[in-house]
Amino acid sequence: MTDLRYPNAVVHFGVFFQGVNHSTIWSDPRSGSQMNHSTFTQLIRTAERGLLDAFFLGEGLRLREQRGRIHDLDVVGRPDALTELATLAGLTDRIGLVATQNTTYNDPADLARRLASLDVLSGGRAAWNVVTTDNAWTGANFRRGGYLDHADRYERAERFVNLARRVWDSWDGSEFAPVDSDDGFFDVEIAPTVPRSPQGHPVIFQAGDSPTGRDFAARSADVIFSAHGSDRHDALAFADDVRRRVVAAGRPEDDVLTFPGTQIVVADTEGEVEEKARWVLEQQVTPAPAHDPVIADIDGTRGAARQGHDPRAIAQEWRRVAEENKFSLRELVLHTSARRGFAGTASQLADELTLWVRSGASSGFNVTPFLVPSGLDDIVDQLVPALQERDAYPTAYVGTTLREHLGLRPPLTRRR
Amino acid sequence: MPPPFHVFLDVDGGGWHPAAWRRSRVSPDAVFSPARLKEFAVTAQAQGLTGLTFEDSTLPDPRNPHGHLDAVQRAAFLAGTTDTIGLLPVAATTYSEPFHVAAQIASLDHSSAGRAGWIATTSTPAVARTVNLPVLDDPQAELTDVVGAVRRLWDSWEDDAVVRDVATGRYVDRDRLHHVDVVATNFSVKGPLTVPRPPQGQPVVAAHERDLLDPGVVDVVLTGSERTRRSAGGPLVVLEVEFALDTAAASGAQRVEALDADAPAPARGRLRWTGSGEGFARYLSGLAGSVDGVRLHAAVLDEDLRTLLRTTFPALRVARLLRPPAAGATLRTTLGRPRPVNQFATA
Repeated sequence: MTDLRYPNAVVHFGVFFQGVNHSTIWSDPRSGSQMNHSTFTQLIRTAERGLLDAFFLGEGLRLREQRGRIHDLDVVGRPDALTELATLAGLTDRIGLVATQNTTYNDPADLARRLASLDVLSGGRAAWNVVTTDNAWTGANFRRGGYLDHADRYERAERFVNLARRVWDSWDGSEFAPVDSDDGFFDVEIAPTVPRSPQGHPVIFQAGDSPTGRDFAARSADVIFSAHGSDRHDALAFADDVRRRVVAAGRPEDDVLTFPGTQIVVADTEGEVEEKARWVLEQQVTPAPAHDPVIADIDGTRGAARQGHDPRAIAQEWRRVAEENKFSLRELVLHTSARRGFAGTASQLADELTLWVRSGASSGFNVTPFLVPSGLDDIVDQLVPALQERDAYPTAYVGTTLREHLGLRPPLTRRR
Repeated sequence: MPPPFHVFLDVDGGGWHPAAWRRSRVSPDAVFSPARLKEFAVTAQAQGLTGLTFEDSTLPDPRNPHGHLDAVQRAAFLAGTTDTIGLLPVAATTYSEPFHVAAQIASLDHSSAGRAGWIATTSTPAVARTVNLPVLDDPQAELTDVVGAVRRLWDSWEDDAVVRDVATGRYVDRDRLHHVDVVATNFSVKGPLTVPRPPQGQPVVAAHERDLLDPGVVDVVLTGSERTRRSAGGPLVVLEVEFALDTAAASGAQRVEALDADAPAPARGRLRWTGSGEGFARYLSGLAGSVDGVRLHAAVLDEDLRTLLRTTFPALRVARLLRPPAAGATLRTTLGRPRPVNQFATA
């Protein structure tokens, strides 16, 4: 391992409590409540014991449904992210607190203020994972309704973030100046009500893989939260692309960190690794439904169907795979869902993850535990020490703010 | 034993007086310090208070620029380090999203194990400018609509909606989740909420009587008038009192006068009381016959809280008017209000 791009890089971890997903195994007896406060407390205390950089909460503003029927097979129901994180701020000292928040269904005056409040209450540990939504269906829960096409929602997101930064900058020492905006998206005047936090601005995460999303991150974010968390070559290509875009935006190439979402299965021996990974996969795929899916009912705006992919082409490819291997429907799903994230012994994983960050494939990993709240224990108790033995993980929190944990430069608008 | 009497203390900035931060024993920025907020909460809980309230404004006073951290954030910050005291943030209804407010207060109720309240308020027209919405000329009607929508959203999950039925693979029973289908004058909400039903079913809702068309929509009516009395079967009545107590250096009235010289205090529809700590205890005891409690606003928290703790609260305790909430009790239980039946429950 001689020509590593970042030979001294260390692994950064976040933990992602999604609250709504199919990867959290709820049927296992070890799986706890997804809402009781003790669950959040246990998970974040484990994370802080393991010196993780950040605790992420997901957000969604409408329950998933299909043709008016609420999806009932996955974990669902979660607290409001910023409210929950404020409680967790009162119970922790160092770990970063990342709230996923939508720019389509929030107002800058309100959201900038709530983020700044969390940042002050936590002593500079707040972050905002910026997401957008493009369907009027979610808008049915809100005063303004809301449908924006793909390009417009990123335009709004970027203007939203820039406006929030101006609000955060407008309380400067003993100076307060209202912020005016009249840009076609936001015709508002916002006066600051919250003083500056120890880290200046909340850290900005951008979640979105499309070219528009990547460019937005390159111009406006501190960290990009990607889906490239399984294959190192794929992750490297993504990270290289982000670096190119960051440089094109006039920033140093390492100014935007890459944090792929992933899953990590740790076991003691290679045999156990395979067995455990298979068990996790099987548990994550729900039992076969009692009815056959109706193709006409599949609607790209109401599920996790990937933007820009042709569902018919995917279906044809999967049909071919199923026929070739004589797969049942369930076997096909298991096959197409395989190879999500990492599986290995602590020592294998430590080598692999170290290679990822030192080769520049990612800056760290945002781990979704498959069991809540105990799913982080193996990582903290086995993987973290193995990384520390390789000098690829910190042995203490050095700073107090999230910006310091991540080694970020000052906020974009606060640089000399 | 006298009837239950509830003492709420507001902890916003330096105190109710806009010049309070100038008198605080801490630097201006430390008025926002999280450690200080925790200190107030620990003290208030140890004193046996029913609740902390968190006043708020999204507009700073231009004559006396000083801020507020978001009230729901402050209340939530204290949820994990307190265990009996109620937490009642102010959240406005006029230009905010009912869906967000419902989710925030429901979350506060979950993380505090049933100690959340919500003081619903109206906003001034100036707030409309911050969010680019048309000025509403009937904010009271809007408050009624928003409170109604939020209550439906809190009920949109039945208590036992999470079934975790391994045999059928169902995490939730979709028949126990409900679209709320609210269509009000200025907004509509489809639902259901993304947060399961709060532990109290319905967190305690309070509003000032000037903001209410119909007191029946809230659990607690806040009033600035001693003439407002509780009525059998109606909401609880809590008197809002701005107070300034005598210190060794100056009388309460003199202190207010000096503060007014720095920055005049606006009228906020609250009663004003000045005098000695003992006199304040006698005054509050006299109220116990006609109202269910008081919401206390200290002129300068750092100065007035000291006198309150030393003289007023001990006297209230002797009169059995300050009785700590029971361990594990929800705010509703402490207030003697039953847990509401879910409006969507099919039995």
